[in-house]
Amino acid sequence: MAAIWGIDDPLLRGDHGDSVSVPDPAAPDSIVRHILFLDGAGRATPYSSTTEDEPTARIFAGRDGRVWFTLVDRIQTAELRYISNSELLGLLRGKGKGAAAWPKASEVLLARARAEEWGEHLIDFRALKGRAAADVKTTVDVLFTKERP
Amino acid sequence: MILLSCSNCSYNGLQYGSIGLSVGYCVQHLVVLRCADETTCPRHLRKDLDAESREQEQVQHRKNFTHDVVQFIASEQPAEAPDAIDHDPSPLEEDLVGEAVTNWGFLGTNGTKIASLAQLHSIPGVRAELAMLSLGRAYVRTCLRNKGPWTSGFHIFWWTRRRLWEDPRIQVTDLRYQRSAVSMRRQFELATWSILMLRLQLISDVARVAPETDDLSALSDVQERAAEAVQTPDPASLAAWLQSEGNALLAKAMPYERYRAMRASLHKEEAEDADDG
Repeated sequence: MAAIWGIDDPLLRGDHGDSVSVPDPAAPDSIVRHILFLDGAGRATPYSSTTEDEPTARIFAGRDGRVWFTLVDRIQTAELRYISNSELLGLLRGKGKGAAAWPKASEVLLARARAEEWGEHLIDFRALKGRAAADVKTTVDVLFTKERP
Repeated sequence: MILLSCSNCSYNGLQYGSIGLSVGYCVQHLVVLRCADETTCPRHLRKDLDAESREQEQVQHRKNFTHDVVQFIASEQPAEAPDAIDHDPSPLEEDLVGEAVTNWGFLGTNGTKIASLAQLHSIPGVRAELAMLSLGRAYVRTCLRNKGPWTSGFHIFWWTRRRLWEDPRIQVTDLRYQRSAVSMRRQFELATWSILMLRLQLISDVARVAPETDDLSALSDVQERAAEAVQTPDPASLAAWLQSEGNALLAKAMPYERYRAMRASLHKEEAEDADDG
């Protein structure tokens, strides 16, 4: 088992080989919808998922993608909200709390199980609502690097 | 597990979450899935969701993936043999569950899918149960779409009901991968919880198509009641709820006497159909 992840350790994201998917700050803000990929592949989401687990990031990267890196410090410097794995698991109970509130408890629990297994942490881009798409992309480009910090 | 991938499709009975073989098998395209976490197709039928959400997601998935072949999710390029799929399932037949799944619908005198499900039911172990639940849900759905009776899933319902709160007894050899974000013990717990919930999904699938006047229809949201009661993916709490509340709900909706009467009635109908045929 890998060492226990700490707040100064990198967060990883499996994504395209040449760029990181750009969130849509104005998209539906349900965390359950985001984690469970409800509304299908490529659904607009205000969140960017990251993981503390490198094998998980590699699976999401697929054979043509790559693993990208970021840090909690960078997320906070960009004035975006960081939702840690422990906070996420706290929100995903019963019918969910806050942005994780959802009509079906069974789906909240499914999302929690996935978040737990994937070691998932979220970056919440809703603070950039109303900003130009190019600005959001610039923020993403600053956050994620190909090299491990 | 990538949720939109073949590893989370009901037509692949060999994998779900961390449980299963290193390869899957698609009973629609009849191919071995060698990288099931990376591929999908328009027929994708999510096995993690209840029937209502599953159907909504299927509509969306068909819009996103229009070419009816097994393909990579990221690129939509066809998955080709031998690296991504394989047309020869014979190596899987060395495994009891693999054999049953690759012979899906070809067992028995008439080659029926219910015979395949009965075979899976008779094989011990969580992988056989996973295949039965996964393919069983797809079977019930197909029967109903083909205007079959609501009782199509009756036998699978009962087989599942009988083992409802039993520990699926997952072995280390049943796991297809390890995840370092959780301890091995927790990975086992999450896998156990997912099987208990899958049992409830199947019961809900059958109950939701029963006539509204039938007592069984009261179980159509049984997985929601369980999830609300236990609050977190904790298999011990869920098993305890199933043994008490769940068992009481099931005993009311389908007591053993009613099961025996319905079984006799269905058997008679099947015999008459055979005579007519």
